[in-house]
Amino acid sequence: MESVDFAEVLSPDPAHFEHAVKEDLSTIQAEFAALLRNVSDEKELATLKVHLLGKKGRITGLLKELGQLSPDERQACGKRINELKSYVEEALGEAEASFVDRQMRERLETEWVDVSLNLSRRPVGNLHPVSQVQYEIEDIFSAMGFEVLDGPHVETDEVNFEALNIPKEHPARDMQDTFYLEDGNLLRTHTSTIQVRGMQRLKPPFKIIGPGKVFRSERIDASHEVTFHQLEGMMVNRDIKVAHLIHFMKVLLSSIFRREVEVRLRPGYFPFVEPGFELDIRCLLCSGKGCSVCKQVGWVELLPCGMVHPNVLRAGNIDPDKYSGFAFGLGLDRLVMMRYGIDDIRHFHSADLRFIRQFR
Amino acid sequence: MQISLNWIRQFCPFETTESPREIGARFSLHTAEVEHWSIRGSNLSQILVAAVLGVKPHPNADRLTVVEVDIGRGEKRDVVCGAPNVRPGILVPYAAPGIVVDGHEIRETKVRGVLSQGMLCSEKELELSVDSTGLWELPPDALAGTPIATLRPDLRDVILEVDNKSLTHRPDLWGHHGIAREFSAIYHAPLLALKADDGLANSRGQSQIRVSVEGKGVGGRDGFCRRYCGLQIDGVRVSPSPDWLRHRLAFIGARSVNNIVDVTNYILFELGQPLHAFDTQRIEGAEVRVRRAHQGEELDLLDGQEVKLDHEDLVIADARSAIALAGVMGGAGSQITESTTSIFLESANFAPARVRRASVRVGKRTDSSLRFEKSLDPENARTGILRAARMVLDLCPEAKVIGPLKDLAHEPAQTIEISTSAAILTRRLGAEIEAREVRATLDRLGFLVRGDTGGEWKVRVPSWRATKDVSMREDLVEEIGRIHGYDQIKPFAPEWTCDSPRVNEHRRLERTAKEFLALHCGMSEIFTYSLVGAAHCQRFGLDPQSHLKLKNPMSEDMDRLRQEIAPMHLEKAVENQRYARSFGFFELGRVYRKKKDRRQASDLPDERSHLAGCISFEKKIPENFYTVRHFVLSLLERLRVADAQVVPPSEASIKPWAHPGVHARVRLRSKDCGQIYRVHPAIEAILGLEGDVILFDLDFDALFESRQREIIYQSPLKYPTVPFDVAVIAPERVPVSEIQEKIEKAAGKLLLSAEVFDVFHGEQSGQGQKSVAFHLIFGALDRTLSGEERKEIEERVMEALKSSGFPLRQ
Ligand SMILES: [Zn+2]
Repeated sequence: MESVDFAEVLSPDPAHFEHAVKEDLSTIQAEFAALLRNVSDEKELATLKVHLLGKKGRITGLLKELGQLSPDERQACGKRINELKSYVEEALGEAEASFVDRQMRERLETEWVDVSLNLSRRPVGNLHPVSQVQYEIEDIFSAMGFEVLDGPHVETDEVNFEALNIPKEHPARDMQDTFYLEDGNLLRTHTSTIQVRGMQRLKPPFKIIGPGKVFRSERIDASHEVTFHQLEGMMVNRDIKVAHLIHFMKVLLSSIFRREVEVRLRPGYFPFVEPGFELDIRCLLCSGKGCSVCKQVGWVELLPCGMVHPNVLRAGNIDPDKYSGFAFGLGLDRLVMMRYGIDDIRHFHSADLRFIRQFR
Repeated sequence: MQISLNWIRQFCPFETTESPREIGARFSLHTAEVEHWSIRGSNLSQILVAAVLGVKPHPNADRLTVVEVDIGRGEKRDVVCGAPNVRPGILVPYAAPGIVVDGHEIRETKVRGVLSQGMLCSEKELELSVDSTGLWELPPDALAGTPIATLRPDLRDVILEVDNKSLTHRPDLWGHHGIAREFSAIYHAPLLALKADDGLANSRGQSQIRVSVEGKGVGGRDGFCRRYCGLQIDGVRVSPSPDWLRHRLAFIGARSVNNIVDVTNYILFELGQPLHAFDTQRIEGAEVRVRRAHQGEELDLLDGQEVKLDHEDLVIADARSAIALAGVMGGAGSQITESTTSIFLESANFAPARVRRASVRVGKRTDSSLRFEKSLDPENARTGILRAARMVLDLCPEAKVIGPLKDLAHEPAQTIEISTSAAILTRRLGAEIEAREVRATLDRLGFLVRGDTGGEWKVRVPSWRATKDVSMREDLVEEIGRIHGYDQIKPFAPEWTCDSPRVNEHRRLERTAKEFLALHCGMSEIFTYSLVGAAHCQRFGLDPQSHLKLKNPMSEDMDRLRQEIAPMHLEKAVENQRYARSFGFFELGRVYRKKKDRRQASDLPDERSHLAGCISFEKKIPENFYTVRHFVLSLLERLRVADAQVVPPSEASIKPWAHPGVHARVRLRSKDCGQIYRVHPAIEAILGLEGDVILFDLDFDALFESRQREIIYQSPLKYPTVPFDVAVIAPERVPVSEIQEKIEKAAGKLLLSAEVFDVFHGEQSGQGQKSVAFHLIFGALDRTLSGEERKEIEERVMEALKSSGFPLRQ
């Protein structure tokens, strides 16, 4: 569109005024209408407005000069000029509104995104799946009033074995292939050491859990690792019973698996508990009908537990005649493997992000 | 251990309608884990006795024959057979087409062009032997056409396989009689006692073998030998065992050797008592001595291996040398052979720890050592040898026991009595069980209960449970609980006062840190091993000798405890760069160092938690370092760590694998607590790293110690603030912080904040120079700054910059 020079067309010339008032205001009106039709954007519109209605605008000028006229003329002209002014204001307002309208329409038509395009690659990180499960279980136990403890990885023979009723030459030492250090200490083979340290520090009654890394000197394969994670739990008070242990295990496992799970206790031998149990859960895959995961038995061995052996309580300076307790140990890696159907424990220490990042 | 239910029923005729699977499950619930079960001989009702009528060579195969058999009622079949012992006149098992043998269905088929109408079976194919080569030759009085199951009803059996690990604590369950006792308690069925023929213990005559158990080794907790029984039997004839004995052993997975060895094994599996038979004639000097081995003494074991003995080992020796490693294995020199006519039976009770140590040392975990190491009942030594002697006499009618039983060093198991009551036992379980039931269970398990059923009891532990298994009330709780059934106990919550647990602040901080790095910085958590090898240390310029070493490592590359995490992360970065270029991971792990002033053996090494991270960027650009720097600082902010500073590195803070220039030190209250750096170009080249790899490593325990930054609230400013931008030219390597300090000092309290918003190097700033632009905000808590005040501060700031040698940029 051609640009219009309003100054030229509508200049506020006093000489012109006489003529304008005397002649015909409708001519101005017609001229304005013609100009308005040619206005192509908001800027031109603003200029047109200034030239007519601004401080030095043409209509403003006409109004200012009314004083020079006779009262009769003043009234007649004033009325007509004001009519013209209202008309111009209204027309300008409409034009302005239509410009805003058009602009909005244009923006809405042109602004668009390709939803399939990924331009920002800021990643979302995640915790290791074992940490995730560990924290989940910590939360369950914290809500039940358990305190979370930890201890050193390098332990004494005393804490790892003797205090747990596993003296030297005890066949149970065979079950755990231990890494010994040249300085005579060892890498803890189970988180039960956290129990021992907990007992030494706390006065009954207490409820503790101890998650952490443990070490075994085993040849690494799909189901054996030299490092894995356990979560130890222990509760000591007056008159703790087997029935309490079963109760806690049921609550725990139902929370972990997010559904009612059926558990059963079998006699199991662990030197630090008496009686000791193997806790099985009804196979979640086949609901007990028998499948390859449960070796057709319908039950899956999940965790060892039992009533704390009096010798263990004694080693922790707790009088077994006054107090009793239960303890359990949960294999966190195995739990994660069960939950996601992971078939190779080696993934956990592989640091392979193709594995880790699946658990976001 | 494999359990034959036929054998069990011989001692405990329990009745049940349960399937083998259910019997196994019940045993698992009450006693020990049954891992597998199998039904044996289920096809034997279809397999028939067949008489071999004729044997012709196979026209097309040298090793095969075509055998004509009579399968009863005058019916004849031709069967192609490869067995070496097939000959006319013998009776053999015949399986007709359609019958499943050893997992395969028999079919009428042509074998090398000759039709074969079924199969003639070996004992192995019928699972009656572990290793047989020829056909099973049936007794000559059997009738052709008779099903094998009718001929031998004992061959239909159920075998349960019990997990040995679940028997670790139960010396009494290593034989069928002990298992039968459990069945008696579980199924409320009678248990038949194992009788020993006491008459044999007082046999006439005089054995030429002299037995001695040496010196201090006898008796006591650390004793070597708690009992030694020996018996000489003359007139034996070593021959294959009768079918029933061979089959019974085969069913539980044992190899048949000869009648004498099989008898010792039979008693082992019946009573759990290991025995050994020596050839009397091969005992040098007619002398049996139980003694410690001489250091370095050699012994040829009967499996053909020669072992060097240790002074800690216990041996059976004759006048000249060791003839058996006690409780583990006999020697080759004195073993039974086909020409043996006199045997010397040994049934002893060796110290568990000795046997275990020796068997581990020489690498022989035998059926015998497995049992001895569980602390066997010394009473069984006598029972076992007398039952074995009775069997030998039954199998060899001409045999004769010579002289009375030699029974030395007998130390009976301790008598243990436990004071308790039904109420005490059931209370620990949290179950309501009638006192009568409690007492009946103890009775069936062999405990002697004295006292009124409803009152106080004295419970006497039977000898087979008294060696270490049962000694206290809690042990009885287990007996009652497991036989009653743990599934019968109704679970309930304990009474407990409501209290909130103490929070483990360290672990909470760990979790906050991990979650921050994951969610804010987009990094993933990894785990790496605490163990490294010397080569790894050297590769990264660390001294392998300074690391804590393992005494028994699995391999060279995992033989010591790490002192640093970052080098492992670099290796993991290389692996991950195979699949991606841009990624980040972190680990909260421990590092281990020798304790500086270790006073006693029980002093543990220093373990510190470190939070280390590694980020791999696509391209090498300066911004990467600043990104990671920002991650670390915002992490510290999130952890509310007080007084953290990032400063240039010191010589000591630069690790050998770190770039010395692109490197920052993190300080907490003027103590170093970590680094942020790019990987050293040399290491980058060695490892083949690409892109830009930036690492950080923070001493997490140090962060924990200074985590207590408090939040001090200030109400938002009421009066307007005034911005002021200023840019200066400064030498390239002058830290921005230095310029900022000048501004802060000059501006004083009215400076509310100062931020760098632009840094650029280029022609405009001049060679070796940079331009730094600051965005300053001035203001006061109590008033609006006046125009003069403003102007005055601005002047002061500009003046200070200029006079410090930082010309202003317009
Ligand atoms: Zn299943």
